[in-house]
Amino acid sequence: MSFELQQITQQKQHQQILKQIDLTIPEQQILAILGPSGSGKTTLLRILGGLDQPTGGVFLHRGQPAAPGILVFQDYRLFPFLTVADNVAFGLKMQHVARQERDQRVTTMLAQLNITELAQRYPSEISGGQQQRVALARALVLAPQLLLLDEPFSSLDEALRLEMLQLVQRLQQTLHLTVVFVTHYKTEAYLMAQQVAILIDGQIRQVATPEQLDQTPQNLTVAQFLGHANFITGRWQQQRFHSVLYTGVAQATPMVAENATLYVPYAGLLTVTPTKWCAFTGTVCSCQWNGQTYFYQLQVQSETLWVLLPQKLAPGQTTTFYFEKEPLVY
Amino acid sequence: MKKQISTSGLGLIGCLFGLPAVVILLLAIGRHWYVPYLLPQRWDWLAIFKFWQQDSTLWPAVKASLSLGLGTVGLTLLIAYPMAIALVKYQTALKGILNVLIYAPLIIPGIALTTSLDLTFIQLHLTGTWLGVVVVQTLFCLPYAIKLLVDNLAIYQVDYEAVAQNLGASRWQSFWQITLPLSRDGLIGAVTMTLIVAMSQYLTTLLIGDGNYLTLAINMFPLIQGGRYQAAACYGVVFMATLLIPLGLFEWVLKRKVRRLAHHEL
Repeated sequence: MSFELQQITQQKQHQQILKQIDLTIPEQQILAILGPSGSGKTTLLRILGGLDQPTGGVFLHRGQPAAPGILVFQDYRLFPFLTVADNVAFGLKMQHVARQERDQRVTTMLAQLNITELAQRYPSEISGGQQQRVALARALVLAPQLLLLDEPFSSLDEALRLEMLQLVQRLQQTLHLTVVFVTHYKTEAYLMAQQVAILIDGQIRQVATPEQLDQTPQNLTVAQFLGHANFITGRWQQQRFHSVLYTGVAQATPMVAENATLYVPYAGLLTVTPTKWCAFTGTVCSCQWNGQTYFYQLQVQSETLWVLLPQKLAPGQTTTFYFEKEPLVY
Repeated sequence: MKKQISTSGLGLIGCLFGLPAVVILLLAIGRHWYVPYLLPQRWDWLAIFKFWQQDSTLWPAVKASLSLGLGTVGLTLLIAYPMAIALVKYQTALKGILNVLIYAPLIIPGIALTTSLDLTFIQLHLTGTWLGVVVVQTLFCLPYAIKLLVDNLAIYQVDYEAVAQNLGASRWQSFWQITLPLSRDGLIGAVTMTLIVAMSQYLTTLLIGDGNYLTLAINMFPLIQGGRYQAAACYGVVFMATLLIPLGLFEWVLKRKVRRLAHHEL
């Protein structure tokens, strides 16, 4: 049981923004749509929210045309002349919900989001984080079948962003919500969603769990977009990868050609534990603490590489690096 | 320091706009106001009411001014409001051309426009009619009204109607519940400006109205030319009251509607 997007296309002024999107949104889960700016994420979300009609394709729920999802916008878009309580009650009023029930649902929702004390304030009188909670409450009070979040945390500071991510996850679990979450921040998508769909240039390139995405990006476009990896060019001959840096076995992806690229994630190299995939010997040029691990710039012959390691190496130190597992070649 | 400057600035603006009104009022109710006296030597507090009773042209002039003014406000809003919404909401290649067309009545000299329109209106049998005068006055008021409405709507830079529709509102509901309250200040500004411009029109009313509509502005002119300053001042006071009463009423109704939306209906 799920929401289904079948062959969704969107064209604006002779420009194809979405190209035959096929996507399954599993119920009672969070699906993140991750893509660079201008990839069509917001356009797709507007279609799911019923604000735009696609030029082609259908959006179904359990085989029937789906009702539009409720959107929480990037910039919150609270009605400036209404109080917090009235903003939250707006959708219920439009659905002609009786006054008593409306008040009760609004009170419950405000309590659930810990914003009861803001009920009589106006949007201009509350902070960005509080506005975000109000926008969420305004959507959730309608008990939506599908909740759509359009980069909702992009304007919040790091601490508040994490707090909001946890809040949305908690609400998703307690209210059994189906959530589609659009972002261009990989960390946000990975922290939040069970499934991540990569949207690049109007096309869904891969749908997978965060772990699968990092371990086996389906193609070079996805790998390059996800970043945090080195890309080593070389040749693919006789089931082996040949380059100045590394010559050895590699896991070939279906589209591999003679001129190939080796995918080496920053965190995919080891120094302490030798593996059968011995990579190369490199010299540490610089070392930076990123808050969790050390981030190194290495000089390997004429190439520069980036590596994340838990242990500290001194600049100038030369050491041998191993691949954690068989590297992918595209 | 900043506050002092803004207070004195406000005082200066107040004097610039308020002083003429005070002088007109003093002229209307004062007697024996000659050089070198700073203020009138005698007062006749009922002067305006007496003038109203004696001058049989005043009440018809009020009615003509109000009727043309309110008609112009209605027609202007009918065109300007949807146009302002469209100009803010939709990006079109014709936007530049539309802007030039909208502001054309201000660019072209009024006399040239009125004269050429007079010829056209004669053919259309609109000269001498209420509708003819209202249409011409609307032409002159549209640029101000559209500019004020566009500026007000552009402040928000957000399609709140889309938000409302996503939350379940119909198109009409989203307009009535969201767009209208958001444009409150723009509407008040546009109505004020339109009514002032329309009621102050002299040449267009005279030419297109063919002398059938003797408004306050038209009646005031010969009084000033003839040196009857006290009578002209009485006209002036009535003119201000005629202008301010409907404006105050409109503002009160609109603000009440927004207050009700915010506190009672929701």
